[in-house]
Formats: sequence, structure tokens, C-alpha cells
Amino acid sequence: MKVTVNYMGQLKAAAGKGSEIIECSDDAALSDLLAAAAGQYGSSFVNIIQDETGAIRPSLIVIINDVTANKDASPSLSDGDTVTLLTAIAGG
Amino acid sequence: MQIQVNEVWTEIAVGTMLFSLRDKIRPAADVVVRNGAPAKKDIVLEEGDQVVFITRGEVPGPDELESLMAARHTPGVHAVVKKAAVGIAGLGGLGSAIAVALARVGVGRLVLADFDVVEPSNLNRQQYFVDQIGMYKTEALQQNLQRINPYVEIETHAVMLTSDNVPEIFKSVDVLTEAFDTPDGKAMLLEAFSKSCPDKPIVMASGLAGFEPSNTVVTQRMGQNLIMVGDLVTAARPGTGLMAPRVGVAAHHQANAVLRILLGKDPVGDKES
Repeated sequence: MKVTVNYMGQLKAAAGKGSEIIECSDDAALSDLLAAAAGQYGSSFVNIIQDETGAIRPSLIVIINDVTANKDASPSLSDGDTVTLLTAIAGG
Repeated sequence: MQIQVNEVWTEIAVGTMLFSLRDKIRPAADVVVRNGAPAKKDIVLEEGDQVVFITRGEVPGPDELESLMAARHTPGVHAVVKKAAVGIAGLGGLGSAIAVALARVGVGRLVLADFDVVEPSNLNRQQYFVDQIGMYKTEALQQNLQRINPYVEIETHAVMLTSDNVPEIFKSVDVLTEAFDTPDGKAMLLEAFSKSCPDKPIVMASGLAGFEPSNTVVTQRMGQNLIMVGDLVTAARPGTGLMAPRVGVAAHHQANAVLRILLGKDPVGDKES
């Protein structure tokens, strides 16, 4: 299946693009998509979404089809989904 | 016909002139506000007009104060926001400035949450005073807001917000504003609130440190109920501090987004024709 991924903020800079279509297996979940995205880019991208152990950073924000996702639950994806990724930035 | 005088519906004769009404009701008034703007010239009043008469320098009684405070609002705003409840998670540079703006515009109820106390390093951008150092921010901000607008109902929670207590603390608000400092906290709040209140909007901020140009701080829609303010990239870190001007710009983006949501407007403007 094909999933449209939007990169915002720091991830957009690290990926060098704002959007792309990633092909996943038909039973792919969010964690599979993140692994696929991380595999395409260098350490600057990976370090934004993963910690030293490879776990997804708590600061990652995931929006699936306009709805905030619980990333720890790694929801299943469907063909045609749009996933927006960004990281919250320190400061307030 | 009916008009509002100091927010009280009042029957007047068709053709009544603004200044003659002032001379009848408040002859000493030297400030006349009609429909949110100062009136310099006399004019025939129209059905539904909102007029306020103010005597400069005179402290009004409690029955009149609230309406006089809202005299410069766009007509119709005060009645709507007075019925609203807004949550503010985090009372630092963002949260304290959001709270002041929303109290000044007359939001009826504010739910404030922060576990921390006022420190000297907060005073470069946060809405506290030197003599409040050491106080819980919830208590200090409540004091300050009540001095600004005593008609705002304030509920405080001096606790560390977690995914467990966010649903209960903010279940009654119409809109939640995220005003945390840490990235993990920001994302936690978003996920917890979106899960417990999926139909309610949350206005977040991300990327507001330093002194980058003000116009790089923008209000964007990130999801159906997620509004994001900031440049999304400029983090607070060694060499890039947090200072009142740019934090204030972001906070007021958030406050204006809240105001637009409460008034039934699209907070970003991209869904309006």
C-alpha cells in the first residue's frame, strides 16, 4: 500500500523534502512506516525520531488523516492514508 | 427600539441622538464608545447599537465595571467569551501571557495548571513580579489575573500534569492551550487530551525561542483539532534563550486562535471563503 508522509519543521529540514509517498506492506503499522522513513535518511533524521536505543522519542507528534495518533499504540495503516510527522520543540 | 447601554438592553425612541442619550444618562461622561470604537461625532442611534459612557478617572461600581472593561471589544465578543472555559497547561512564558490576554478579553473561566514556583529566571518573560518569587505559579497568576479582571472564574491545579490527570483536569474546557517548556510534555499533553476529548481543539506552540523574526511565528492547522503556533524549528538550548518579545508573539498567536475558536471562526483562516 501507499502512504503519503508529510514532514514538518526539523524533520522537513532533515529529510530535505516536505512530503513523499512511502510504499509499505499491506499489514503495515505506524512503527513500520517510521522504520521505513528512518531507513531512507541519515543520522540527523533518525536522531530526531529515535533515541539511542532505537525507541521512538516521546516528543514525536504523529497525525494520521487529520487526527492525533497514539504513537505508542502503533496503529495500523491503510492504503491512501496521510501521515504527518513533526517533533515538539523546547521552549515555553 | 432597543440598544445596549453599558451592556444593559435599554428602550429608546427612534431618532435618539448619541450625545443626547449621554447627557440624559451620564452627563459627566467624557468618553463615549459606540460599537467598540470611540465616538467623536454625534450620530443617530440605530437598533442594536452598543454604547458605553465612561467618566474618565472615575472608578465605576462593581455593577458597571465589567461592561466598561469590555467597551472596546468588537460588539458581540464579550457575551460569547463570557460563557467559555479555556484550559492553560503550563504557566510559564506562554501560559501566563495567554492567561493575561484571555482574562483581559473576558473569558468566563480559566483552568490553570502548573506544578512549579516562580523563580528569578522566569521574570524575563513571564507575567509575574519580583515579590512573587517562591509562590506557586498557579497562586501568583490567579492573584494577578484577579487584579486585571475580577469577573474571570479561575480554577487552579498545582500539580505535575501527566497522561493520567490531564483528562480529568481539562474535561470541562472548550479549548485547551499547551504552554509547556519540554518537547516530551508537549507531545504527552496533545496525545492525552486528544484521546480523552477528541472533539475539542487544542492550541499548541512549538518553535519560539531566540530573537528570530517575529513573522516566522505562524499559526497553522496540523490536524482537525490541532492548531500549532511557532516556527517549528527554533528550540530553546544553550546559545538560544527564551525572551519576552518572541515568546509573547507566540502566546498571543495562541490566545487569538482561542478567541477565534470561541467565536466560531476558523483559527487559521484557511477554511473561510
